[in-house]
Amino acid sequence: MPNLADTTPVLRFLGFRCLRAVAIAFAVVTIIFFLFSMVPGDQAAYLAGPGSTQAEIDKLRESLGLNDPLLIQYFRHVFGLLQGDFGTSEVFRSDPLPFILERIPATLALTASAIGLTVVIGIPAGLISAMFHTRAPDLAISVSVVALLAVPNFWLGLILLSLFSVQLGWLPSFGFSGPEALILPSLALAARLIALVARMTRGVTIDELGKDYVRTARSKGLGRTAILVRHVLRNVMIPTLTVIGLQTGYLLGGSVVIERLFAWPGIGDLMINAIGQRDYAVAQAVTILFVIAFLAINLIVEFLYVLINPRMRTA
Amino acid sequence: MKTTRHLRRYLAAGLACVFLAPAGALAGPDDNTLIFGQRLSITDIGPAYNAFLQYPSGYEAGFVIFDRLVTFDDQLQFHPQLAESWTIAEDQKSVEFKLRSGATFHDGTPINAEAIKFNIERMMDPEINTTNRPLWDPIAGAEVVDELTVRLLTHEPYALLLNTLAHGSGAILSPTAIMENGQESETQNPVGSGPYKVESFNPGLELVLSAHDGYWAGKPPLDKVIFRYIPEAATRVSALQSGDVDVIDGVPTHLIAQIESDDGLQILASPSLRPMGLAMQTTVPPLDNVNVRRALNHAIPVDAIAERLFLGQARASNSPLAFNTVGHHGNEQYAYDPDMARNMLAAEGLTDSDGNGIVEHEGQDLSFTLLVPEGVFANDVLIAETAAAALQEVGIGVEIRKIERSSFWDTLRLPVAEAGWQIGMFGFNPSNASGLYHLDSMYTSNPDNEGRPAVWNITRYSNADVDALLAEATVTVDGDARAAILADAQEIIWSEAPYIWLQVNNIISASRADLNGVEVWPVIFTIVRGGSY
Repeated sequence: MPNLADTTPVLRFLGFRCLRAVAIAFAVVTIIFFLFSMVPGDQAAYLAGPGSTQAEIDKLRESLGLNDPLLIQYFRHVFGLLQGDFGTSEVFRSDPLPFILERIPATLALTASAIGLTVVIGIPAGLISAMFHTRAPDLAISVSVVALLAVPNFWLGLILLSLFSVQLGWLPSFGFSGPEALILPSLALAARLIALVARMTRGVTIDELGKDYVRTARSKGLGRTAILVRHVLRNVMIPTLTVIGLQTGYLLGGSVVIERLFAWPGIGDLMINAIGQRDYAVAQAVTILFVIAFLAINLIVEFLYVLINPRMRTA
Repeated sequence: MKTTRHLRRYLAAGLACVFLAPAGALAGPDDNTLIFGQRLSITDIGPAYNAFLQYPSGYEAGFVIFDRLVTFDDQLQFHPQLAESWTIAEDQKSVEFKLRSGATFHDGTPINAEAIKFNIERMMDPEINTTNRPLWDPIAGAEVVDELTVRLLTHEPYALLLNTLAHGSGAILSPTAIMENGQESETQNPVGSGPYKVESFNPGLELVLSAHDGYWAGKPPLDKVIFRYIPEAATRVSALQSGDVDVIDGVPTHLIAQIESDDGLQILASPSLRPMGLAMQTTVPPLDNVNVRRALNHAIPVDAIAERLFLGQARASNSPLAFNTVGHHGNEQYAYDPDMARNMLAAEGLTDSDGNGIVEHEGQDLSFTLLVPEGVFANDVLIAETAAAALQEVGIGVEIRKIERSSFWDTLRLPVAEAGWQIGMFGFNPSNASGLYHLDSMYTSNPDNEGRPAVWNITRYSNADVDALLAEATVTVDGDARAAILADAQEIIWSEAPYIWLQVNNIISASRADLNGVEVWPVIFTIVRGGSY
């Protein structure tokens, strides 16, 4: 248990990081707003549809507040966000938040199970590879890693679909109908991360195995596996967790593609459709949630750093 | 070594969980349920407000949940639905509909003249019916004659009254439900009188319908009809092959062979009503010159596009209307002849004097921006690239401008000065199957050629004779007489070539081979209303 004198700089460090995350979130909200305002074409004309008269379009512009100066629209937007008001979805004809919240569990389940697969497959694969350095298991795993890194997740998803759904008929081809439906999309989503983590774990483990403390442990008479599990693994976990944490943000991006492929009822697909239908309220809300999730994950990683690595506590 | 063994065991167990656990967990195909995997999601069901967003997925659900006074079949012939018969008045400005007796809505409300009147008047209200105005504006009112007779009045004789009533926006909803739940309740929880009623609706994902036991034509053959959104074409095909769904729409041409090779599946195809073309801005020189536009039509190998890009699932157009549109009249096609195109351009003073392969117009190399969406029309980008190469072949510079689909429709309708394109890919789909509606929407002169087109006349085509013919056709109720007028209009428009005419492609859906009664209407819809095993 570190004493108070130890934790003050840590708290200051973490507080600074939190403030920075808020500032980034604000900047992103601003950038997103102005990016959306720059999309070519007239939102009112699109929503009114062909065959609508100019008078109808004008009326819609007025009711959407599109006639106000951009800055006024911006402040109204930010003020609304601070109150949890994401505007009105033109497609769902209501507050978009309930529709978004309803989709979040599916995306979280997919992301979490992809991370689970990464930990369960990636880390052991890396350890095995290091233990059998330059021997057959290492070669097999290293080749698989390169293959997985080279394969786009979309293509891998298609292959998994045709094998496990169409040929073998074991798994559902789309949707979130039950836990088994998680397997194919989370494998497709996690493949790249599994490979990254396996490679990372292997490299770090090989490095660690050559260090003095390992020699000391061995001279004490400890077995190879005991050294690996008791001493080396702990040191290997620091960089490995960092990679997983940082890559989790990218999983969210990948999940947009995978959700679409597997007709997954998550928020990634919701966003793509919202953009296609010019439903700015939904598109902005989802984008902002993605950004917040990304920042939150980074914060969590930094907290974990501090937890795992005592030297960080005084940094 | 003990721990290593543990590690290995965990690894093996993990892999086993991943790959083996769910084997056999899936139920086989269910003959009491029909699952329709749709390319687009349904976010909104009723005929008013957003009108069945998205198109066509929402309409496809509407055709199952709702009845209309009259309906089409897959040959676009009219059939009675809630109306048993109809009589057109002497002055052709009103039509009397005799209703089927004993029909009720899903909530038990009887379907009578009062209910029809309520629905017609709702669709006449521009605050409620915001989307399908051109179809409903000609209607002047509805009168109750007796319990089962209703009379619809039109401002002028309205040739397309039946088309409007058979259109998806002619859906008849329970007035009781709307009075009780509010005008906008129809978008999420509509009450109709079709064979299946709404059981649950998750907008953007899934719509579950269950059998309406009191359906006037008898108990429906299935317990459930489920609309499920599957955006990716390859996944839809996989889902159909693995038996997870029973019907899919939006089958791309390159996946047809995969379905045909499977004995348990069948392709359902129908030529669409959407003739594709490249719209030329006819007010922008040199495209204001009809001979230049004709020359460009001779420059594009449309037959090759239909054969190669669509693997035969398309046909080169011979009219501004698609082959199956009511009123279609065939014309002589523009033969693919690059030499002739070059000579025609030269005759209009468009020659390549500096030898760079591109003709000059007023001293400048002639180059057009070709606007094309990505993934809106079948093979859209491939067609644009083919057309651009073919135009370059005859000395026309082309710069392709791909545009994201949400901006596409609006960019097509921008005022000429702001548009930033001179040639744009477009195809109009007459959702009421009427050739008159199609020609009127696309070729009637705009009131203001500088501004946005009134409807879809994005070429700013203007011909007083065509305007007069279309105006005449609108008040000609007799079908044959109207067809003759439309034929004249088509000949003029075809020869004046406001478009580089391209192809009409098939709408391609697929289903389990033992599923009967699913229809693909040329109006783009896959209709599962009559499906049974």
